[in-house]
Amino acid sequence: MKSQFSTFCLIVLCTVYHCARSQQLNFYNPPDDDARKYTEWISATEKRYKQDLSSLTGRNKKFLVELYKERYERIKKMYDQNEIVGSAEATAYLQKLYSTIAQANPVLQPLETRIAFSRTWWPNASSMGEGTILFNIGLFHKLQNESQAAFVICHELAHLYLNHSNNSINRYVNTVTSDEFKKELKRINSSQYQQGQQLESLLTSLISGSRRHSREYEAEADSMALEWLKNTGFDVQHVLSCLQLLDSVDHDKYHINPPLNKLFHFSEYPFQEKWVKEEKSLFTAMAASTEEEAKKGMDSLKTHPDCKARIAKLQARVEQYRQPAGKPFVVNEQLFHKLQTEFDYEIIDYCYRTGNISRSLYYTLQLLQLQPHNAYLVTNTGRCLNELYTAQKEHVLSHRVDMPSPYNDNDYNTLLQFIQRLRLGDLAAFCYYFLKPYEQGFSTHEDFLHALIGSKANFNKPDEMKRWISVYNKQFPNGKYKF
Amino acid sequence: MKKLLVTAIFLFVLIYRQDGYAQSKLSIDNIRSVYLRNTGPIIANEEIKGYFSFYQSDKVDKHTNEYTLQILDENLNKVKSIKFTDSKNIVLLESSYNGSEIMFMFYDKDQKLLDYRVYAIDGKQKFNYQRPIDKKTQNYIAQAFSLNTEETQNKSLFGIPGRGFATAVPVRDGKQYTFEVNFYQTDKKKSWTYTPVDDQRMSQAQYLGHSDSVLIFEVLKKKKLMTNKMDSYLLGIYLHNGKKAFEFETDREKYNFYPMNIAKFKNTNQYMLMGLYYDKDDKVNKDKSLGLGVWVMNNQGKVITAKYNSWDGDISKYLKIDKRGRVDELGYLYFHRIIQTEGGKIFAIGEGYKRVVSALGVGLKVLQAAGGGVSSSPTTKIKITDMVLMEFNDQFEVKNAQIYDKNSNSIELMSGGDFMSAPLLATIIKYVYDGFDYAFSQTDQSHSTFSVGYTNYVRSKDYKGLTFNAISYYNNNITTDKINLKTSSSRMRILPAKTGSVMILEYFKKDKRIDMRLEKIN
Repeated sequence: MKSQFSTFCLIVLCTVYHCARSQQLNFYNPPDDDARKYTEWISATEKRYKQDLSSLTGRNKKFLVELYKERYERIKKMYDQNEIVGSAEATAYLQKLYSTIAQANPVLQPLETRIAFSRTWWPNASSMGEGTILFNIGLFHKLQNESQAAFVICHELAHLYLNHSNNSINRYVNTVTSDEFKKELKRINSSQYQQGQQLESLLTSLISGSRRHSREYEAEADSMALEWLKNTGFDVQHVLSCLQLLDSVDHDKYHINPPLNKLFHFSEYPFQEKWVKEEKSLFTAMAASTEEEAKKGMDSLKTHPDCKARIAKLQARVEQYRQPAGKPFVVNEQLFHKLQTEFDYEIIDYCYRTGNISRSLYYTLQLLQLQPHNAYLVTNTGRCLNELYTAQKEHVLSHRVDMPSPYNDNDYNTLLQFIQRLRLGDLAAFCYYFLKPYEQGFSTHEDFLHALIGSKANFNKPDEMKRWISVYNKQFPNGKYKF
Repeated sequence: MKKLLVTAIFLFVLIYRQDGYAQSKLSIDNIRSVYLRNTGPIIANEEIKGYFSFYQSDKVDKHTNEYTLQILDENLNKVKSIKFTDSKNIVLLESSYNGSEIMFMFYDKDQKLLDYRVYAIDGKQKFNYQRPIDKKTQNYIAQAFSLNTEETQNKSLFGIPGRGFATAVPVRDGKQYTFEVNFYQTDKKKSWTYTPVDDQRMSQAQYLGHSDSVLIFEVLKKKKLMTNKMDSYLLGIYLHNGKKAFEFETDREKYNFYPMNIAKFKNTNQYMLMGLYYDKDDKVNKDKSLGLGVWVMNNQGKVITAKYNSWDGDISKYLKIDKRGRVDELGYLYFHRIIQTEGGKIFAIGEGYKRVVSALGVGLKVLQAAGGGVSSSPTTKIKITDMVLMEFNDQFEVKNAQIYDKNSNSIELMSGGDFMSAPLLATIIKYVYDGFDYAFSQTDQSHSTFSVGYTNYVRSKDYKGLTFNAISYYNNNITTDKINLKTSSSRMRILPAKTGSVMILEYFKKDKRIDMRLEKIN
């Protein structure tokens, strides 16, 4: 546990150091997506979907068609909603990582893989089963080196190579369309009593069977990933460091609790301690005991084996395959770090663009502690507050913010609790006083001016608002905002 | 097969990709039977700390069901699902939280008993108390629980932090309609019962609050069942042994005082009662009230201060009052709640009601007369008018009053309605017709802020339907807000929520689903 903690501290220090080093990225503008690449991906995905459909036969065809369609539409939606990172630089980098692995492992070459970064914040990577592999930037920006990223890619490639996703679908469809299952369902349907209990037990056995296979698949994918990684120039030791990192990957990257009482304290509008006063929730103890209890029964429902167990399974082979020539970085160390820094911002921006305002604000306030005068971060704080104001006014705040929950990070919960306790006037005042000191310095940024004008409108300062609208119109006669 | 497909898709999503979703609302599926009253807030120290939802989740045999008690926290996180099997004839009446335990009050129709179950916060049942009831009392309880009361106030079950739970249960003893107070300790299984010794035909107890040593109730007594004359008493019962600490009638000062509402002063053992006052010789049924009175008393039953604000004096500075003591346009005022804020201000939340001519009643009378008969239908009906917020200073002097417009509702009265006094009409409107638009008030523990909620039916160009309206006090300012409530659900209820929010509960019958979401009010 102690060594894990040290590793974690090291990660934080490295990333904090690196971030501080990258302060030259002053105003973040999301990179333009490569439209050509998008079209290429979509048509390849569609082609593969049609191929898959035409290859379906047998009595379960109708059912499988339905599920394949669902999968295709899900992937297409990701493209349509710009979840896929389409910047030429990031795409080329990921492709290069992939091709470095594929070149060393010819078995991978016929796979028709489409590998892309997903803009989502949560640390994950996934193989959709039809060639699409998604590497969430929420995972990538937490990694320490390319070898870890390469292991993640190898792991997902192994799922694809071993056809795990399609096997799961087939196994599942075969089960639920089997005569035995149908008979059981019919029996439950016709039974007069305990229908709910019987159905629940049937579903539990189905889910637990599927999860058991899923855990077996994970172990298989780890094992095969290591075999492929050893053929490359990457350092196989980082298979273990990657799994160790995954063990604590659900924690925030920067592990900073934004000091709300400083960020939102203004002499004209003093901070009120009651906004953040910790209140023992009625169900804190209840939730904890529920979680404990749930854990006992959860082992059979887990999709992934424990990271410690995964490490133990691979450790001996990692020692065996370890070569002095293995390097943590093979493709481009500088670009790896550059992309990580950009992804810090992209996560914030994408959360904002997709309406997850509380998370966007949370990550912004964390980074703001490291770069207090960063124009983008100041602007995003302002526009998030404006967005919260509008959502609260229109009674749709629950669509823009997460609710405090025992399952969130404590620091994130503090911010969520704070948002819950604010009234409309507080949000307007915060935004107004927060942006005011930056009026002169950042007024060359179009998004800043937009947030600033919004703050004047919400805080009922019509004269100031008019003045800044005229500044905006003068500076950006063909600007993206209309007032 | 359709069910199969739904299951299939659900599992398919689980199989091929797992994502995390931010929760903005909570859905509870697989509801076999629903009665929206089976969902309610769990209240501690005036604050909403969570919710319970009680529903039948399975049928075990001919006589037994499986029930689920779903417990949610104040943010609608599911924190505990308590499943148990019991008779198909049990009903959950109320729940309360006392800081360390939750008590649920069930009524078991088969065994004819009230079953009080105490759960620790880990969701495990600690013990239960049972109180058998006879058929007469059973009917009386059913009647009492069918009456409407505010969502933020329990009718019968009250948590006493660190000590246990008090209950006030209506009881029918022969021809006498009375009550009993029970106290159930929760650190060990121990209880006491207080039964009033009284020759009055009818007495009803309403829990007002507690100090560290005394439980306080307002008791309304009637000598005859059918009389309109009710006497108001205050009753104190010692917490440690269930003995009477004090009891006295509320007419002992200068005027006859009829408290409508009570509020406990923060951090003291004093209480404030507010209500209409009359001259000693006045008949409440016929004479107009003189104004609004305020009593401050301690928990030994001593009246420390009595302040009377007359209609034609102090109050007329802020509200236009007519000769009959009615507020111009609004009619009479009924006060739903009194709240003393952290800063010492006192706010009284009222709603107007007035008697107007009923076209239906007059028409029936004319028809009956033409046929040679006499109609007993009243010729007047009740119109529910606007909301009023009155502000008093710490000396209980009126400092401000504000009227909040809303569309009026009409209520056709039952026989004899033409002759009812204004206070009795208010009671009938509130408890029998559920006729007021006022929904609930909510405040935080320190009373630094409060919100008053009421519904309104809007017919405008932009929107036609029900709205939930709020009057809020925050940072010494009063603000108003409105939420449109048009929905595709089969049924809907607005419940109080943590300070600054409301909970919207919708039941979708076709999908057998309940959705709950929190919305902040401004």
